[in-house]
Amino acid sequence: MNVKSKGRASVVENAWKVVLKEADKSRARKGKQDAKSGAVSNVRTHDGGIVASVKTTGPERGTFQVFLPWLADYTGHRLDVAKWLARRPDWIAAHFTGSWDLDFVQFVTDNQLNLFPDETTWQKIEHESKCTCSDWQPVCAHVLALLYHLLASADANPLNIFQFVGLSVDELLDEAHRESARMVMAEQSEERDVSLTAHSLDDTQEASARRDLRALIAHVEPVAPNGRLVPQFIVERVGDGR
Amino acid sequence: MSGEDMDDNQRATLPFCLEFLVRDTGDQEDKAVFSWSDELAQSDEAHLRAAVERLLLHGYITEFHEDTRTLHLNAAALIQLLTNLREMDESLLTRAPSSAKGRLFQQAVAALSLAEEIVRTRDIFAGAFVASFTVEACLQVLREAASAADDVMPQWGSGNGTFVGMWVPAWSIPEFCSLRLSILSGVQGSLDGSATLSPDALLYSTLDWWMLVCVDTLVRKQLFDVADATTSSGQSYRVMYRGEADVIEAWCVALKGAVGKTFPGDGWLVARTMRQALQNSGWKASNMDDYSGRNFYTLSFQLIPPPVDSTVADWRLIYRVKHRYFGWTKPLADWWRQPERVWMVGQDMLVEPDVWMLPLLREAAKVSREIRQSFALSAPSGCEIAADDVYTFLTESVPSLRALGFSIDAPNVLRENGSSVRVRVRVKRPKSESRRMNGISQQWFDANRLVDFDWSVVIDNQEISREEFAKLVANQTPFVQVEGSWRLIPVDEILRQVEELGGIDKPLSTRVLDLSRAILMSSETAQVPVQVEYQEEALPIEHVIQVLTHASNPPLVTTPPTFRGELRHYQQFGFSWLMHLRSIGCGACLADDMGLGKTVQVLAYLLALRERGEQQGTHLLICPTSLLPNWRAELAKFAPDLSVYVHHGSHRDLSPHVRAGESGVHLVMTTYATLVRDVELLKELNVDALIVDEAQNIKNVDTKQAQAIRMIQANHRIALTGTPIENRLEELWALMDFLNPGYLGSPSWFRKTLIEGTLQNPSGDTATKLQVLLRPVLLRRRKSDPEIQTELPEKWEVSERALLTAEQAAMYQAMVDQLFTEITPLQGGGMSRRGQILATLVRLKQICDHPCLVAGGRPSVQRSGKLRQLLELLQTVVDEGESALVFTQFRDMGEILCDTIEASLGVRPQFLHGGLSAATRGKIVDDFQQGKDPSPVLILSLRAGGVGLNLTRANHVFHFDRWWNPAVEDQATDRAYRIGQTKDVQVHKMICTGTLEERIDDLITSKRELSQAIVGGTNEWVTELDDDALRELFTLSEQNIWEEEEA
Repeated sequence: MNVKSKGRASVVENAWKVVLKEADKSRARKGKQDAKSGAVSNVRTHDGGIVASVKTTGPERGTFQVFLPWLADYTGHRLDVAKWLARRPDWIAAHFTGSWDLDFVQFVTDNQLNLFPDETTWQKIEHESKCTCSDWQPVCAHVLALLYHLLASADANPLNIFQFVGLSVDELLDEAHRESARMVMAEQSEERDVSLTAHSLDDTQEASARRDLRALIAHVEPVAPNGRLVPQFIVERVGDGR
Repeated sequence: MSGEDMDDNQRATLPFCLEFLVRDTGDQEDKAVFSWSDELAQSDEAHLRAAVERLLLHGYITEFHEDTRTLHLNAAALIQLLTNLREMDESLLTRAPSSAKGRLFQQAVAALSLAEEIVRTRDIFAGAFVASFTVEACLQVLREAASAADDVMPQWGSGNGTFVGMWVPAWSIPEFCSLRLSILSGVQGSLDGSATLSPDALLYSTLDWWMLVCVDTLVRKQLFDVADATTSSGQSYRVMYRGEADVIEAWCVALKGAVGKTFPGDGWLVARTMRQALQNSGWKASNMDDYSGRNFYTLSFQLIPPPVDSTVADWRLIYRVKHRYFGWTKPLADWWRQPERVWMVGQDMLVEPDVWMLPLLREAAKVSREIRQSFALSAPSGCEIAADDVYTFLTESVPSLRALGFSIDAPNVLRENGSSVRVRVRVKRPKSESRRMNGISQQWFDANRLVDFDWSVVIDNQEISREEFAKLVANQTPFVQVEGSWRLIPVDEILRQVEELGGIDKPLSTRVLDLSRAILMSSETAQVPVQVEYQEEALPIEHVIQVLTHASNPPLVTTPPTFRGELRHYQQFGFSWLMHLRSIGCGACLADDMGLGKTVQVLAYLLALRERGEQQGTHLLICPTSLLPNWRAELAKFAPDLSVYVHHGSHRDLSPHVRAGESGVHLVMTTYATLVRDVELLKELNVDALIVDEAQNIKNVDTKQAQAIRMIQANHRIALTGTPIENRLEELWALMDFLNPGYLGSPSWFRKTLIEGTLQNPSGDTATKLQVLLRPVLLRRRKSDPEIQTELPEKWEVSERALLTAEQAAMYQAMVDQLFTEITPLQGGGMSRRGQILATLVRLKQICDHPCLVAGGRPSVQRSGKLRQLLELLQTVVDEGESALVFTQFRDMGEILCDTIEASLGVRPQFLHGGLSAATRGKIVDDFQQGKDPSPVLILSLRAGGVGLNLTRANHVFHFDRWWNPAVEDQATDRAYRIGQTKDVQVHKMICTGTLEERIDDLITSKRELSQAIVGGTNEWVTELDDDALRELFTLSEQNIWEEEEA
């Protein structure tokens, strides 16, 4: 079962409502707007949190550096997380297609993984988030813009939720793939691969393909050249019989 | 080691290398360094020398020193060199390169080939770059312009600038884009062919630029001119911007002749023109910078059958990636073995292909349970399809997967055009039979004989024996290998077919009749036809089965000369059909519509048997008491040569009439009730043809009459019925069970196999099957059949003869006696003779109608034979969905009819009589005619309903009592038979047998024309008769009274 996250039906943003309701309304609105219009860039992890540049327009325009603390530190558990993912390629597929797999949500909840905020989260953000702006409020519109940016990214690609605990999705996917390869190789050292004959067939295919690159595309029919300036070829003139 | 060997060894690796020194900015010249290793194989050295000589000849280079082992070349010279070398050495691309530079050399050659194809197909456009832009910037401009939504082109300002004109590949053809990926991949792979970690962006842009330069150079070589499509097409008139014409003209010049020419132009105008040209190009970043292969590959599924001699019956589905255009393919299992998310497939290095492979697998998992299950486990690369599920997978999942765009590589197991599956039945004559019966009689075979047979399944030309098939079913492996390819056997379909042949492991011996049924049941099923083969000794069986299985087409028999009358064509067919079924000992059900003459067909049959000397005993006819008079009348009319004994009534005595030899009667007639009483006596009779009229009387197997009739042994059984038996399917079984026991199987089989399906869908396959099954043994013609209709008169009259009840007979006799005791002494005095005769006449008619009209009392049905007869006939009419008018001349009788018809049919008919107002009568007529009246029957008084009414809804007219004037009756009949009537009209004249009704009817029908003159429309003529004539007319002749036995 999957839930396509789209528009209002957003799993992550809903989970964060408990936190967002504490934020100053006007700053939250501004932050959400800025996140939507692409103000957040250069997002990376740094020293127990997430840093990014937030470039805003309007009367208080400027580029600010913001810092948002992680919900928890999973950097020591990167391999464990990768192992779960290696066992569930369907979760990875859901990530690529931007769907929230209910099994995945269930798994996260059952194992009490701190991927979603709780009632202490707001306080943590209030204390630890930083911004280079001069807002007297501890959680300014720029911090909120980064937060909204992260929420949207996790709603669009579920595994991005691991950003909140300090894990990079790309690294996780690479590691999960390495883990799969390890498992496959371990299994296959015991039993011979059934598709061995098919494999050698592929090699023959490749060799002939290398030789006949042109043959692969020789059937392509000429098209009309693009654009305003049209080349007129000598052969065409001869072909015209003029 | 010989020199030649060494030469070949050296040739194994490629000695040439290439290094690009790409120009910094747009207006500079491209340079490259071509080099080679110090020990060249002989052939390579020869090729190199020849190629370089051509460069010298065409002036691309001015000098050549072989020992420097390097050549510095511009783009044009490099293109020339690569072209020369490629022509001389076909192995240029397949030999292993000695270094990364060697690989670059190979991919430069491949890129040149691709550029040539791009130019050939004109997949190009005219580009321009700011002269001072770097190569990187130029390539970026193309990507951004291709994706730009509006005229904004941020890379250069709108003011005047200096541009370089270049021909650029448009990359609008996916095959070319795919080959570009191969070339980029090829420059990148490590020497051992495995994939490296991530694409080298700099190398990629170098090769992209090289292809652009090749295209530019090649186009210029072939170019004759450059045209401005805006002005040359002349399709629309457009005012040019200021200076636009100049810019375009200068641009055109820069696109011709030598490469690298610059031209001045307005930045906005140039950018705008570029953007238009790039709109449908492949330069968008989503295309150019996607190295995952998502644009060129898809998932494919390979279904692999179990090995032929394997104990494993499960099939395996292998997941693969497959190139959409070039067919390169690799199993997903290989992907999961890669330590990094980079995968070599075909010539391509796919970077993070899981970003599209896994989502595609997710789509596939939605339509296949097996794929879904494998997808929730690590490293999914395939799944098992249980033998049981292969069929479902092939018929349900595969089409769904194909609809989603996946390619499926499955053995061609589903039957497609050309291949055929059928059941072959071999029929043998049983050994015991052949010895016993041989030579004794031509007719050793009949429908009830046993035959041996066996069957097999034939797929194309391969035969699978019954035993092999049984094993296949037991193992649940519905596949066989036929001529090297796997075939799916429609096991369920075959099992259904052979179920009729006794299933897989039943003894293979059956009656011819049952075999015929099995063949009939199967032959209409197109999917797996049953093909029957007969061994030579069993050929006579084939004849029987042919007779039974093919739509009955009996040889026509000529009407026996002793038959007094003429058979209509369909009647002759029916009579021949009876003879034909008799010849193979198969019971027959003649189910023609009421009025089509079932009786005469049977009479012709009986006469033919007598004439041919084939009658072997006495025929026994069983019918309801009410039909005895009709049968007698018909026998007397059409077959007076047949001697008949009616075994009925209290004085019945069978024995004197059935003595063997000539002294016995031809036909014994009896009633159902008498049959039940005298079954012990009748079953001793040597019965030849057992004919059951109104055979629906034996529909309920539990009744005494149904049980009694099964006790009578006979050579041939015939059932007559006019009711639409298709609507009462269980009764059909009972009927067939009497005619041909076992023909419709057991009642539960019949219900399960035929009735349920037929009821659900009366025009479906099952219904058709039932029809086919019945066709040989049941002959039913409808009045509405077109070919029957042409033979029928539009209006025809039938005399329906009824018996008097004992009460009626007694009253009738008393009335007649009273008349004759009174008129003789009172001749001329008191009540006039004429008055007495006329009064008696009316009374007698009333007694025939119903005794309560004269004597009072309850108007029950049991008291009137004619009323019973009418109700039976009306039931048939209603069953056939038709309507009737019933005329009576007695108002009280009309009311009784209304009551009794309501009681028996459930709907009260309207009664149209003279006592009603004109408006009411009009409404009754309209309601009936338009079908608003729920009753299919309308009662009319003869006088009130006689004229001026249009009642064509009805196609049956009953004259319950007789009006001696045929003209009056005809007039009444014409209510139904007039313009607007679409059906044939059947006129039933109800006559009490043995009474004055019958005698006057005879008088009228024998001298119809004359009688009209005599009768003249009044009863006066009766009063003119002398006493003897009068006595003859009135007297109740000795006849059979309706005995209350059947009540």
